Amino acid sequence: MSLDLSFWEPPDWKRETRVNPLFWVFVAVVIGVGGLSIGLTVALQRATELGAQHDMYKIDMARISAQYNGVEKSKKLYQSIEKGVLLNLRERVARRRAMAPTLSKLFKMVNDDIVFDALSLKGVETVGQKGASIKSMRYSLIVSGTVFGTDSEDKLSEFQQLFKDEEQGFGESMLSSEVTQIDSSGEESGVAKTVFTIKSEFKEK
Amino acid sequence: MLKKILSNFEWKRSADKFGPKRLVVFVVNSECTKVVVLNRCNDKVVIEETLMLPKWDVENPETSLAAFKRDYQIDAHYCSVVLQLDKEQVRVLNVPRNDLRDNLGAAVFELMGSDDSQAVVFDYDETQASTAVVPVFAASLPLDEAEGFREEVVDALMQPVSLDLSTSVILNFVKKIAGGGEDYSSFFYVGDVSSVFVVFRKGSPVLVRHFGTGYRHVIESICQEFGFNENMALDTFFTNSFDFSTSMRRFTPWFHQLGICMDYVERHLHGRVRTMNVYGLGSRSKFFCDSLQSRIKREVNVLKTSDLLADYVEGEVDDAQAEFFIAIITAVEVMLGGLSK
Repeated sequence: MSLDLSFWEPPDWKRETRVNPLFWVFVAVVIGVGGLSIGLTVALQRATELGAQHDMYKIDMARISAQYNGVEKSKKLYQSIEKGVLLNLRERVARRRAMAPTLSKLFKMVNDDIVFDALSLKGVETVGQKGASIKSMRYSLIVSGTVFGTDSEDKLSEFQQLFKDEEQGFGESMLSSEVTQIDSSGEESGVAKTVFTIKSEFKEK
Repeated sequence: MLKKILSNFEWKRSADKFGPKRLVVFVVNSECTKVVVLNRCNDKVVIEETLMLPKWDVENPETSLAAFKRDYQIDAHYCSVVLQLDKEQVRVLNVPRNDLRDNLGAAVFELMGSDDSQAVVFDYDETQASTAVVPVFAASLPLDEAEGFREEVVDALMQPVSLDLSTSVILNFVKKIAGGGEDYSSFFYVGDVSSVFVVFRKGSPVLVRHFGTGYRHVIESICQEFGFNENMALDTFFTNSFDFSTSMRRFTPWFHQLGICMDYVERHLHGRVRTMNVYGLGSRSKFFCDSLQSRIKREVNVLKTSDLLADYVEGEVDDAQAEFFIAIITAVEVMLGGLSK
């Protein structure tokens, strides 16, 4: 043990001891440079990506303005609208009207034992060929009613055959036909009843 | 102003929790200023630079510490100063054990005969505190002098570490090399302008005596008597090629005082000092040791400086560096003191 005969207080060495601040400066510089380079890389990448997208979906303003400014172009536009919307509607109504006599003729030929409760005819528009001005139509027909008598299945199949008939019915344009027998009762009491629903789809002839 | 701000940044410093890694020591005496710059390397120190500068005068700005630092490009943040005064007040005070706890400071002031203008430091070996009378070591210095040197160091943008008297430095060093063992052992340091005599009893110093005489004074008298120039006198003094016994007569009081110290040990402490261990640059002269031996009538054992410092200093210590003995051991104390704790 040595004697402490110094006239000055020695410095507190623990306080003097620190990590060299130059080291922290170095670390800060490394982090800064690293962050900057990463940021720049990401920004550049994004910019090139956006540029590519912009080229892909470029809107040709010159073409559009020419189209809308010119009188002839606007006339053409009107024609296309008339053709696509108004004429199409008219034709559809006409077609439905044309289909009605066929249906009424068909229903007259049906067996007397079949009584119809409800009938619904819906036109479902299908996507036609590209460029076609009038799209082809598809219809769905739902018929529900009651069959009296014992051999209800035979009568119903006969009814379906009538629909599929080439000359009087719809023929090949009939896409599908599905019979659902909901209830069959009354065989014991002598008056047999069968409630049925027929869903069928067909396209226009 | 900018320099002062910059000096507060820690990256300018070089220290760890054990102490400074780089230290400059100034030994200030009445003739010159000795400067040593040292580096710590593991558990040893490396002497980087030794300089002999003009006297450090606080009054003269040309020889201030800041001027030295600028002119000689001394590059170190931590600074220790050792004062080598002609009359040094380092004493062993025998304080009764009861006084230790109550009012040791006042007791030491009284025993040293100091007033408010003096700075007094003291310390004692706690392992000796079980005895009835505890030896307390005290040193005193004018307060304004201690503060003046401190201000100088701060003005030179350095961090003050320690201000010691050369006697207390020698005392601490001898305490290290003395060890236990013999009953009484004595160590005599012969420096250039001062010498210190310490008597040990079982590893604890019982007598400390400072002399304002060193081998430089012997050489001065040789120059006067024989008409040599200084270099020639130094050569002849250290090569033992000349008999200077007549000129040594002037130094009879010096050796006589040593004899009185020996007698004191024999009469008051009832022990006999058989050998005197002599070290320092002055002990390199065989002629000096012989005349000392014939005077004090004890066996003189010469300790080599390079051997003494071999445990602490990396590499050989040559003749030129042995002159900076006090500076080196001060630095060793400061730099390696924390490692041993």
